[in-house]
Amino acid sequence: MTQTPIKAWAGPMSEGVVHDPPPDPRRVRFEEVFGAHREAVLGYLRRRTDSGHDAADLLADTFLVAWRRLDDIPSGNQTGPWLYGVARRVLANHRRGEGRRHALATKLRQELTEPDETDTSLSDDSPAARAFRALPEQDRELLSLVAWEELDTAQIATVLGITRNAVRIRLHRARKRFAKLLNAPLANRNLVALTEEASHEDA
Amino acid sequence: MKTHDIDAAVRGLAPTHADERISDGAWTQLSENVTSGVNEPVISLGARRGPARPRLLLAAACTLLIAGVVGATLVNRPDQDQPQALSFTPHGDKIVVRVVDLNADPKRYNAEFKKMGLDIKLTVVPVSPPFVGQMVSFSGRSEHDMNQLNRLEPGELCNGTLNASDPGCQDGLEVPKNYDGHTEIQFGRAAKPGEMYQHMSGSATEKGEALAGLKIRNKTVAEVLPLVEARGVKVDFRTATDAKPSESVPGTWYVHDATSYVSGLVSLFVGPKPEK
Repeated sequence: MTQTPIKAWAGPMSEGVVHDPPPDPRRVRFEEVFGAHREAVLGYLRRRTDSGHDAADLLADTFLVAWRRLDDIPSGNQTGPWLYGVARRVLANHRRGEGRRHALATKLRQELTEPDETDTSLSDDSPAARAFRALPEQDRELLSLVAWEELDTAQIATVLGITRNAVRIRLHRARKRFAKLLNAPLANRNLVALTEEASHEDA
Repeated sequence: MKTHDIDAAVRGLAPTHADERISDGAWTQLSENVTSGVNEPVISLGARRGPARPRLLLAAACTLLIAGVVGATLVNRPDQDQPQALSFTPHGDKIVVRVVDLNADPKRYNAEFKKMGLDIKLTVVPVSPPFVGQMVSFSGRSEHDMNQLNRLEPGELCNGTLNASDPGCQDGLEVPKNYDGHTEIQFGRAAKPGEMYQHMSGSATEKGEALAGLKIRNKTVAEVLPLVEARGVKVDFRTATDAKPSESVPGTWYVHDATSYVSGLVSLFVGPKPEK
């Protein structure tokens, strides 16, 4: 085996590294996908993490997967949902404590804030927020994909890797559960609060 | 409640993060690093902190490796081609490859892979102390290259009486005998002072890192600096607003987190307010 120079992982100080810029079609395609969806995927991760630094790392992980699986990325209005699906798995790994911090997104990391007063999600104590937090994770994700990412049934099916029909059924149930929790009488609020604590531990 | 109302209620709950405009530079850095820094598919095995992992065994393994107790005599066991930089053990239609001499010249590893007819290249990259001696990543040209490989944890599929605390049975790779792909494996080595790590823990306060065991979160810069200096490392500061590291910040600011990207240097993530 011939020895080739070790290719260093470009770290935070990689600005000095000279990259050959041949018009590599893979790279062009990646830039297209990245340019069109980076904000949306960051938004997705940002809304589901407390820390901007974590979101930066998770975004890097998500696009590393996208780069690696470039040929698998569907086109058209399924590209975004496919990326959300990857981001969702990356996020799940992160929540299991398998996340990692790397130097790929150092600048991005610095531009995203850690939680502070502007983050209303933690302190929001409205009945809707309490009811939402009391929902099972699966329900929250479905409702969020509709309301926050504004995806349709087919797109959600791509994110979650399930059939459209399953999406419709689960979404119907999630909406029903949310409405029920929202309208729960005061006496049941304790129950809501209890489940809320449990779901916090998951987060 | 109607569907529309429910969705509107959820929409109102979307967490907002105002004033987070991302600069072109930050996007470009990420994109460039993804497409060129890591020129091939990579699976990072960096911070592997699964809850199911037996911590004690791992700690024992790390300690042995960091101390450099990778003696050739220890790995001189039956069923292994010795003395070598790598060990190759047949396992059904596969071969288990393990690094037994971390300090060997990478050329030796590559010569041994070639001898086995495997197109595998092993490189050694600078890493932070807890990753020294560990396989930090492997990469191939395609899914096909990657899918044929199975990464082994310390202690997994070990020979005879070897276990995870044995230097001869650390991270390894299970490769089909007829592997037709190309792979590059990276192992972690100790970094020289000032050298940039290619892998490091999430926080510099994690076990084995420069500030291991220190509690720094939401303490003031003035409180933290003496603690850091006592560890004999230099400091720079990273803020949410400045893209470049700062040399100094007000002592009344709060430390949110710390990461050591470079050997002998700790970057403190700081801000004027404590972090929730």
